[in-house]
Amino acid sequence: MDSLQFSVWNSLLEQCRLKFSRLENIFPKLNNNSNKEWSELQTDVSELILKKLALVEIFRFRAVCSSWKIAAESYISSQSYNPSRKTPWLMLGMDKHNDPFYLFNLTESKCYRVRSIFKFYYRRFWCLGSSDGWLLLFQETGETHLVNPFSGAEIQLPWMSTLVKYENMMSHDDVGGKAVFSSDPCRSNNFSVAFMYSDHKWPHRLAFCDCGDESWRLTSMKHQCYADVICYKDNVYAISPTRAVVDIWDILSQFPKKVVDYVTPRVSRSLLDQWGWLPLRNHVQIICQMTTLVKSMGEILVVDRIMVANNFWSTIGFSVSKLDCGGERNRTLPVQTLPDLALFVGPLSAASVSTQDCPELEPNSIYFVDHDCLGVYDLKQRKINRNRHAMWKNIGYSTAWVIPNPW
Amino acid sequence: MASSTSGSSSSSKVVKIRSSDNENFEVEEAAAARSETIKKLLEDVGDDADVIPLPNVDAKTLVKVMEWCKKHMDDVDELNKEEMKTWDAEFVDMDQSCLYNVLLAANFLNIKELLDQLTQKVADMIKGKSPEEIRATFNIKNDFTPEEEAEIRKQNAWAFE
Repeated sequence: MDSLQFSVWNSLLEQCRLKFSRLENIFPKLNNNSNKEWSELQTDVSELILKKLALVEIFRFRAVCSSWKIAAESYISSQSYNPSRKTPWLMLGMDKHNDPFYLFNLTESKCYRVRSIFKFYYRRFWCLGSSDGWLLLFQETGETHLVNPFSGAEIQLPWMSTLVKYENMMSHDDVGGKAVFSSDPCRSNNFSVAFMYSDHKWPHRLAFCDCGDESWRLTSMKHQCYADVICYKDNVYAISPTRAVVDIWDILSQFPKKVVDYVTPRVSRSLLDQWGWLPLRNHVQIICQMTTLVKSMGEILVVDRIMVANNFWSTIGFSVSKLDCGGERNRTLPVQTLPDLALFVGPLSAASVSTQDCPELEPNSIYFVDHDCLGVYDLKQRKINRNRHAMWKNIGYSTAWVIPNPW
Repeated sequence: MASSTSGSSSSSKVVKIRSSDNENFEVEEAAAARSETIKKLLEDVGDDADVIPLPNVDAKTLVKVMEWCKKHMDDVDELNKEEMKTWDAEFVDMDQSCLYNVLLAANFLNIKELLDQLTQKVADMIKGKSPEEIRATFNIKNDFTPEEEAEIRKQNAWAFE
């Protein structure tokens, strides 16, 4: 070895030693069975482990010892933890006001009773939507809060009683509502809320408020009602029930800044046949379509859920398209497959998650809840897998997917 | 396995590495190069490298890590993927003390795929367990005061039911 190579080698060894000496502080003797070992995991290693755990497991990880507590807290407060890339949880049991309140974790197939985290849990309240991991809760007094069921954090919003009376919500069978935010409320107080609501008098109208406002601002709408609403690139998109019109709003404006008419295909007879739906002879079956907007990979997907009425509404299939404003005419383009994606749809919330981030989920699928089951629709096979469990009995439609947001 | 030459082809290049307890190993370069740390050293030093010292990885751990590297030396074709999956599952099924050593060695030697498999194993061992059960599994001492512990559990009481 000549002197130049020797000096290069020496400096490399020196670098190694530096790294080793740093490591030596952390694991003095590799074969030493002292119980300090696991409690003193290096930060990069513990982060790799935490990345593979659901939020409830991270809460338990945090309760193991003081160094794991530090590791867990630094992980969930870092950019590495992105709640919207995690499998959403399902909030259950809000359809009867005096029911307990449960959160269902899909990855564990386990239900947690969480109602007691709310300071006002002894009062009657109603969930009117979920977005970014927050629930919009409306109490019988008219008070309205955003509540994060994971952290217990609460933010007061203008009282809803100016828009709608609690009694009217209670008497209305099809309780509708959806709240979307301009930005995640836990990141800053500078956010706005777009709220689509209905009562027995008004079906699905739109109102806005800023955080800290005294009251809601009702919008003037061109259309009678909307099917769904979504916040996308600082604008609010609201789609009409026929899916023919999308109104685009600057959040907080009174009138939509743009009204876009879409050419949109109807669900075809052949698709219905593929779902195995056969109308009974001499018997009229009612079909309904529930439209959900889902933000996914920088686009807006329009997910149509087709249901038939038996004793209850029962989902028979889905059809997915995306909003395309690029061409000469505004169209919705059919989407045949969603490789590496799982969608979560429901009347109160929607989400899209990469199955590479969450390998426990089925790719190319849509997760939903019917009156008696958790369903997974396979977009490729056009088939539904139904998970019937005792807890899915009589849960109604007012269930919401909740992103596990720890802040 | 000390001083053993490995590999089916006698022409394949061999590198020497030394464990913290001064055992020398000869490993095929393709296997050793699964470690980004060793690969970088080899690139920087060239053919004149004598023995690469790994002063924080003991012989027992190094044998284990190199066993994985040898198995993962070549790209796996589709046919062998399932077999490899089974092999990997058996490989990470080791006692917690050994798992800890291999985990830290994989991190130091910078073997991403192995590190991913090992951290997945640890995550699987944590899943579904209470904090008490996790402590028992990994032989960790509870160093919280009762007040601290009560406070932590209060924050998300439902997660501990």
